[in-house]
Amino acid sequence: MSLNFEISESSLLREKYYKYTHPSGLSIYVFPKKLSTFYAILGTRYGSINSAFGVGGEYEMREVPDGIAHFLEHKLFANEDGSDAFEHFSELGADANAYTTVNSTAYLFSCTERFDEALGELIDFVTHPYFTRESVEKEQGIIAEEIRMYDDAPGEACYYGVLEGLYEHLSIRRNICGSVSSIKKITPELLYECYRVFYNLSNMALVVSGDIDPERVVEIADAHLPRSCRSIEIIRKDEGALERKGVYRRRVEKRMKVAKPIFRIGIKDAYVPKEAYPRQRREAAMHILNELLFARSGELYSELFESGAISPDMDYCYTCSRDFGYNLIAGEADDPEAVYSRIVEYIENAKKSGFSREDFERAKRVMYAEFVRWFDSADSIANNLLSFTLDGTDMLGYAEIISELTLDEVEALLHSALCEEYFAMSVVYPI
Amino acid sequence: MTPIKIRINESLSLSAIETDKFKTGMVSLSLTVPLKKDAAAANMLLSGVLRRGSVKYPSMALLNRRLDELYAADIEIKNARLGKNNSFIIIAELLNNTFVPDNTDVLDGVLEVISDMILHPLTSGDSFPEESVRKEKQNVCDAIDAEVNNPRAYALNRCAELMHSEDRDFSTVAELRAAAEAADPKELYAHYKRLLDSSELSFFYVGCETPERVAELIEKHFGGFEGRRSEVIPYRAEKFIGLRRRTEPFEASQGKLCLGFRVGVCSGEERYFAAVLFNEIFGGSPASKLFMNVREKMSLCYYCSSSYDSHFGNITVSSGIEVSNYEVAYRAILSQLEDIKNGRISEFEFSAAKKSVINIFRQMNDFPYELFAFYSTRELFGISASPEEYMRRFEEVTLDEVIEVARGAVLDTVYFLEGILGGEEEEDEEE
Repeated sequence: MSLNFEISESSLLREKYYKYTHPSGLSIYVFPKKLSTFYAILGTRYGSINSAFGVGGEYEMREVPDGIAHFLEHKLFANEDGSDAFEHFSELGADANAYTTVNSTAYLFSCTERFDEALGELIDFVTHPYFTRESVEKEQGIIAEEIRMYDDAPGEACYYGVLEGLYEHLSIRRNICGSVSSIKKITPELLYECYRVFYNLSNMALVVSGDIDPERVVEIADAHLPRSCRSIEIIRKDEGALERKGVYRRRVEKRMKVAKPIFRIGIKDAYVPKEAYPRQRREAAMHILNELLFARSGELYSELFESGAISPDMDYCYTCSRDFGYNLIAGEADDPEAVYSRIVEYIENAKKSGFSREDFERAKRVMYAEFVRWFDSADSIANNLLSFTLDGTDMLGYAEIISELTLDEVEALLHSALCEEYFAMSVVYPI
Repeated sequence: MTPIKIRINESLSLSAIETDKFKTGMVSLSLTVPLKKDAAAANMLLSGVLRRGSVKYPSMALLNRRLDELYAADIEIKNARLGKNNSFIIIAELLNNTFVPDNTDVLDGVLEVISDMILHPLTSGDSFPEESVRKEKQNVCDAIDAEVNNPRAYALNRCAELMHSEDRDFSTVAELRAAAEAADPKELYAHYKRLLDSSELSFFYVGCETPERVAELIEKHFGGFEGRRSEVIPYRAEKFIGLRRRTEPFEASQGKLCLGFRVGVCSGEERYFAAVLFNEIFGGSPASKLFMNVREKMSLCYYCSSSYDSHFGNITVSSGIEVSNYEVAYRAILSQLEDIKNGRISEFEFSAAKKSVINIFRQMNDFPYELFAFYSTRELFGISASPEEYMRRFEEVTLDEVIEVARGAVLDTVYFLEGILGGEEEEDEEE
């Protein structure tokens, strides 16, 4: 068959991928790569943040229990004939899994043979929901233990703590799995409704990476997909609109079984662009800014490390999507308040002195190298491509953005985004 | 993807895989010596002390700056316990020269940095600098104390300690901590010199350079090193002496149940292949008996899995359960094992286990680090086999061979981390 592919290409990386829009509404991306592993991931723009939504022409807005996207992810593996999709993948020698984030849910597998059948299985089980009262009750037991496991993890508690500090309303401040009481309210009917709304194929994307032709992938998918598009107008609640610019609470403190205090400093980004490309550019600039401020080759880390103020692994990252954005600095310290003050002070000094051209170029080098690393394995390629795609951006275009970024742009961001009114800290102290 | 072996001289050897498959390659250097109880803490300290700087790069910041210039080359120093031996490993992940946009020779640069760290560490006289040893002692103790932050790993470590308690070369975490606290900079330096004297440097490389060029660069940077071929202690299965049970109260809501079994089969033995498949069927994958029954059918937990330590011939089951379900879960886990011993293994379970294991070996060629781990460990123990040979051997294992290995499994240790916080507080999460 002759297919109409859009191609995205990078001469620098010597890589390209293909996009095809199937009549069912599903976007299919194929990233050919000469590896032994095949990896496929089917994702939807639906995560824990979507616990209130509407449907155009049907209803304005309704609320569903927290944790339902994650619950749905677990339950989708069950088939009507009583079998479990995991079993089918095991029979094929494929390794399957799934995950739910704040704004996406994805189902995936990797294999080294019988890829065609495994891809068919992936599409089949995700497009055929089957929920019963009994199986929902059984899953409540499993997920309750998953929730308890996270409840006992101080790192998780500290992470959610900082989100509770940054945001007053946004549902990312609540656990992706929901709570033991919220998941008890989940019924097969609610699962079917969420499924109908968010698993319509025009809200989803399939990404495949491995030693395979794009035509072949489309041919296999075509045999398992409906012929026509059943589009639904999803009304997403603009949760961000309710939030203030500054933080909700400057400190969130908990006590748990930890050896020494662990902390997460969050810096709210109240100005995340709604449009995809400017958002991607802001993200790249924020990454460079973080690298300049917090990298292990930098002054701040060296000082905190050498003085013993922090344990060696202090990490940092920037996360953003249409509805939110924040920087996170995570570590362990005897005196988190002192570390906090030093970080704020260091940032204020950086605003006065600016960055050197040499440091800026080195930070760009680091970013380029980290980006190149994504392209060495089928799973990293497909996972990253899916997240760029669901966000509406081009993965290969990222290299260009990195090279275009200017020192002025990054310094301007330092002045506008890293102000103390956007800072919150969560600490888990020992019991 | 079979490595080419080059003996550079009496003290230096190289295994190299030349491939243009990856944008990021790796180079590692290992020193392997028999594990002695008094050396374990010293080895942990060494990895931190050496990472703090060398004569040419006299601080961690300068060292990290240099690595950032080399396109974010990442150097990690770690100790791998291989049965009764310890491998002191320096492993670097580096961008292949073909993807470096300028003419930086990353491999040459990285080998130069490693050589300076290893052969020219910072010293004061015949001692490591007192200050850096003092700080590393603190870091090692903090890292050990932070074990409680992860209850699942904490429980598994306690279970392993009980299982290794007859091994006089094994250190418990408490012993490691005490030894680290008591370490002396001068003795630590003497220990390091002894380590260098008692092993050769064996290098492993995966990347786009020819083995000859890699060997030349190694000779350029390490030519002056004089060590000797090290002694390696073969694997030996640990024996069952008597059933041990221990329950420890812990400030968490969930209980962690660990069951340790003696299987008596180690890597390198004929029955090794059947032992791997036994573990896979028992609890090694989502198609396993533990997952399908204890989790899916009985919904007792979110995770219940087993892992096989082929260095000592042990299998450990780990599960997070509600404390009140202890008896039910304990019996359910043992009954899965009984089923295997009685030959109740379905055709599906048996073939799924084989496919799953073979899939892992077939994917190995896609991951430089996996190739390093596979080849370097087997070479050390004189096992000359390729992943392809392993796959053939797994294919040949019969059901009876698996049952026979399973029948040899004896319950040795029951460790329960008893969560004492209960689950009441969840109700508070109600919005």
